[in-house]
Order: sequence, then C-alpha cells, then structure tokens
Amino acid sequence: MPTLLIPDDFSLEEFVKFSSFNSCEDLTIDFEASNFVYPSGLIPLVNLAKQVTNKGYRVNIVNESSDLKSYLARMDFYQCIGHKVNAQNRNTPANRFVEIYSFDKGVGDNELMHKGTEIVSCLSKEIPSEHRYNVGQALAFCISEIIDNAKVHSKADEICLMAQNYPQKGFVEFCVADNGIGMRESLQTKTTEEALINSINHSVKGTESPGAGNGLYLSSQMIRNGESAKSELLLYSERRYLDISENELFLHQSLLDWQGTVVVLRVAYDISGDFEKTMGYDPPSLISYD
Amino acid sequence: MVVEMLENKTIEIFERFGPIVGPRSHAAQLREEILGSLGSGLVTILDFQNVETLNASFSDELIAKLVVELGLEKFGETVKIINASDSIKSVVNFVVDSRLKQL
Repeated sequence: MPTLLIPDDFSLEEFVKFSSFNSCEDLTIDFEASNFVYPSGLIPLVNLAKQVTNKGYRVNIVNESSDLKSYLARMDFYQCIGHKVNAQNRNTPANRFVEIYSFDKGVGDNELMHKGTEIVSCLSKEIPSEHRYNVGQALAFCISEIIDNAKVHSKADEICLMAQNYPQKGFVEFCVADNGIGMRESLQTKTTEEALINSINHSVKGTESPGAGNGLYLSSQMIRNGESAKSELLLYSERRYLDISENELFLHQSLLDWQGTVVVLRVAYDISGDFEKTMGYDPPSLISYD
Repeated sequence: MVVEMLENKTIEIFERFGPIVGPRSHAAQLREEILGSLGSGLVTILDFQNVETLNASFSDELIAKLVVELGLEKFGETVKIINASDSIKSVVNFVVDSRLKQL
C-alpha cells in the first residue's frame, strides 16, 4: 500500500516531490512529520484522495497532531474525502480562510461567482487597510479567471479549491486543483512545457474555447508586474510546473505525474495592484466612457 | 427634419452580478439581451456603479464581442458605459484592443 509522508510546511513545492504511485489501491497519508499545511499542499492532496476513493479504495489518514487534526477538520478535509469526524466548533476566526470547496463542471455559474466573491471579501477583512484595496483587486481579478478556467476548460470530474490569509507572513494563498485533461490537451500543444509557457502568453486559447485566451495572461502579468517579491503564480500539470514571480519565470520538473491542472496564487500584501502595469502596455481607449 | 429620439435602457451591473463580475457565460446572456434591445431601438446604458472588479472573460464576452459585432461606431451610438472605475476601463480597453487585433 503506498504511503505519502507529508513533510512540515507542506505546500505544492513539496507535493510535486512525491513519487508517482498506483492510485488503484488503498492509500495512506501520514502526517507524523507535519505541523503545518498550506492550501497549495492540501488541495491537491484532497483531489488525489478523492480520486482514490472514487475508484473504491480506502484512504487512511494517520499520525496527525491534535492541532493539525483540528485544523484539517475545520477546513472540512475529512468530510471532503469521506471520513466521519465529530462536529467542529465553528467559532474559529473565519476571516482568515475559506474552507475546502469541491465542485464539478456541472456547477452553476451563480454559485461559482458567489464563491469567488466570498473568498475575496472573507480574506480581505484581515488585510491591513493600507493594502486591502490592491490585494483585493488582484485577488478578485485573478481568482475569477482561474475558477472560470477550471470549470470551462478542465473537463474535470473533481475540482477543489481553498484559500487562506497569513497576516504574519503578509500574503494570501489560493489554490485550485482539478483532475481534468491538463494543460497540454487543453491547449493542444505537443509538450507540457509548451502548454505551460503558452498559457501565460497574450491571446492563447484552446481550439474549442469561446474566449480570447487572456485570463492566465493577465493573472500572470498581475504577478510579474506587481512589484512584489513574495507574490507568485504556480501552474502544475503532468510532470512540470511553472513558477511565475516578479519578472521571473522558472519551469520545474516534478516527480508526481498530475493528471489535470493545479493553480496556486500567492498575493503578497505589498502588491501594486496597478491595472495599467498589469496589462504590460497601455491599451488604447477605443470606446468612450460617460 | 425628423429627429429620432432613442430611448434608454439602463442595466445596473452591480445589481445583477455583485461587486466582482464574471463569469463569461453570464456575459453571453447579457449580450443577447442587449442585442435584443437594439432591435427595439433602445440605447443600452451599462452602469458599473459599485462594481469593484470586472473579470476579463466577462468583459471580452460582453463588450469586446459587441464591438466586433456592431462595429465601433454603432457600439458608441447604442451602448453607453457609465460609472466605470479606472481599473474597469483598463480591462475593457485591453479586451477590446485584443479582440480587434485578432480580426
């Protein structure tokens, strides 16, 4: 039976180091070495566990510390993967996170729109007032595009998301993971590297897409031009992930082959939130505004 | 001389979609509604009062596609955008420019 040993400070950068394993047997997730998990680690883990349980196999969760167990329960982790837990005390301050939320391609647009609004308004409450507008703008813009992409383009059965604000660290992290067709098939490229790089270029879209192909371009521009060293956008599909940060772009190799796509957005409090810079150029105003 | 006075129909975006406006499919429905109004001789006013963020996919589907379908001149005569923040104008300018470059 495969075992995933979860390291401390578990994030996507740690998740991609897992070796590939046969998902057609029971799985054990061992938290013995972990005291802290980020959404970018937890969300792909939930998606993975759901894939295993959907195939009729068991997922065993072992060795959580009591604090971590409370946290995971509060995030609806156990509930999402079909484990029964005692009712949780919901008095924990809720302005710092949005619990794990699962949906599929059949979800209504109104529900998704409200979820996006809930995430931004919830997380913004504890952001210092001098940063609230810029961070809120960046979050609202990018999250709505990322959620829309997951629903419309992934063709996934399972899509999970979660968000958390880290006031002491000064950033917000949002993660969405799906088990769909992945970036290469969605964008009809020969390689995953090509798909990841192309996805953040201007006007790049899949052949069946009704859109203009600018959602990820603009989200990546927001991060690259945000004058904030701690803001990042990570795109993970198959055995590659692209790390986009201020004026930098790194393509990494992963050990674990991810069937769909994982998107992680980290917005630091010091992001500029300047839309003109986000565009990368100053588009002409071809229509008039009253 | 007979001057044709077009009547206005105001669509309050915040009332329909809230402060964060998306996704693309909502815009497609609204675009059809606006095209229907044009057929009835109405000028549509899109009021962005209280809208905080406009999704690029939504604005592409609604505004950029309308510009392409109607042409800039007719769009300007029949669709008015009011109370848009600078960030909303930036997104709209970007999607319109992008669509027109793809023609």
